[in-house]
Amino acid sequence: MPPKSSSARSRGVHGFEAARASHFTRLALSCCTAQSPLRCVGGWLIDAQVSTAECGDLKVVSPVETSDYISRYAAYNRSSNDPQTENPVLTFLSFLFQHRTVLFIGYGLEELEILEYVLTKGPRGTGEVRHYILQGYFSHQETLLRNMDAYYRNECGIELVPFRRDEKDWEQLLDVIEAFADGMPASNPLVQQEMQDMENLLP
Amino acid sequence: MTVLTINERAFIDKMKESEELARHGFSLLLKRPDFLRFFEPLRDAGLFAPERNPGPEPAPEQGYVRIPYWSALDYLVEIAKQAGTTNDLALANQVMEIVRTVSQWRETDGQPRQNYQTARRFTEILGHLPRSVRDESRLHSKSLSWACRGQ
Repeated sequence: MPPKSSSARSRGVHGFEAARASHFTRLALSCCTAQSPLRCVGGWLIDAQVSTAECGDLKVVSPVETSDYISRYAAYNRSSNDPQTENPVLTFLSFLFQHRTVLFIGYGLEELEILEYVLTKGPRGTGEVRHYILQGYFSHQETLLRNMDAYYRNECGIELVPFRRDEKDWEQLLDVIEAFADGMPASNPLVQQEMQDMENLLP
Repeated sequence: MTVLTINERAFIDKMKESEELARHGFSLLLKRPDFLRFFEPLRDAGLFAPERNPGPEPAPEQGYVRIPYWSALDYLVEIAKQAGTTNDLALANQVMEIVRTVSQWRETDGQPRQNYQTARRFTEILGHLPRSVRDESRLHSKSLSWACRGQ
């Protein structure tokens, strides 16, 4: 394995820490890396008490309970276009999952119902937009892996990206994140993409 | 005060990023029947600020300049038409205020920003606004003279 650069290590540590952080921090990190319109809809982050700076520092906010999710993801006004009644979290998530490729990092089995709630009741991505979830497994969990792959694909519309924990356990995640960072360096969106975003924001 | 949805606000934020995106945004807005609803938020976002009215730029041919077209003008003309058609004096006064602010704005050397296309469209705007607004306007004649002459 090639030696790790400090920047790559830094990215890896971020990914690892993200896996241990709270739900909102993790989602916020995913949003940041997916070049979502996070700044544009900063109101959601403020509501969630996670600022962009905090997201960068991976500061862990207060634990979020299921009731918090339910209230924020409540579907009764999911399709509202009325600024007085719209749910800003759902507006943000709708745009995110419809128009961005999202990589979930750090979601565990204990949070599956949250993920399911968000994805199965929310809009699916269209066209080339796809969602992925990164999860670690041991070799003896291959059957579980296959089942989870089918579950994520069929129930949530997202693709499982597994990695083995046999040798380095969760530390393996660092190498995975580093490989991703090297293979998909961050870049500024093209003007054409920005224009397409505008058309999506104002259908 | 107009309240926009989260996505609509994000849209305006995008428009602020560059003239290219602003042009695209105004173009999209003008295709919507509710384009008027965006007027105040666009103004508050600074998209009608005089600094955004482009001045002459060097042309590819040496010794020549080109005068870029300010993308906000088409939108402002449509707003002025709306104000004139409905005799909406409050809206007309807001448009008039933008025309006045841009016209009176000066470069650091004290000269007005030279853009004949802006001047031409401003005269068109004045033609659409209700007469009472034009008559009551305190627009200084010197401020608009460059506009009416068409540079």
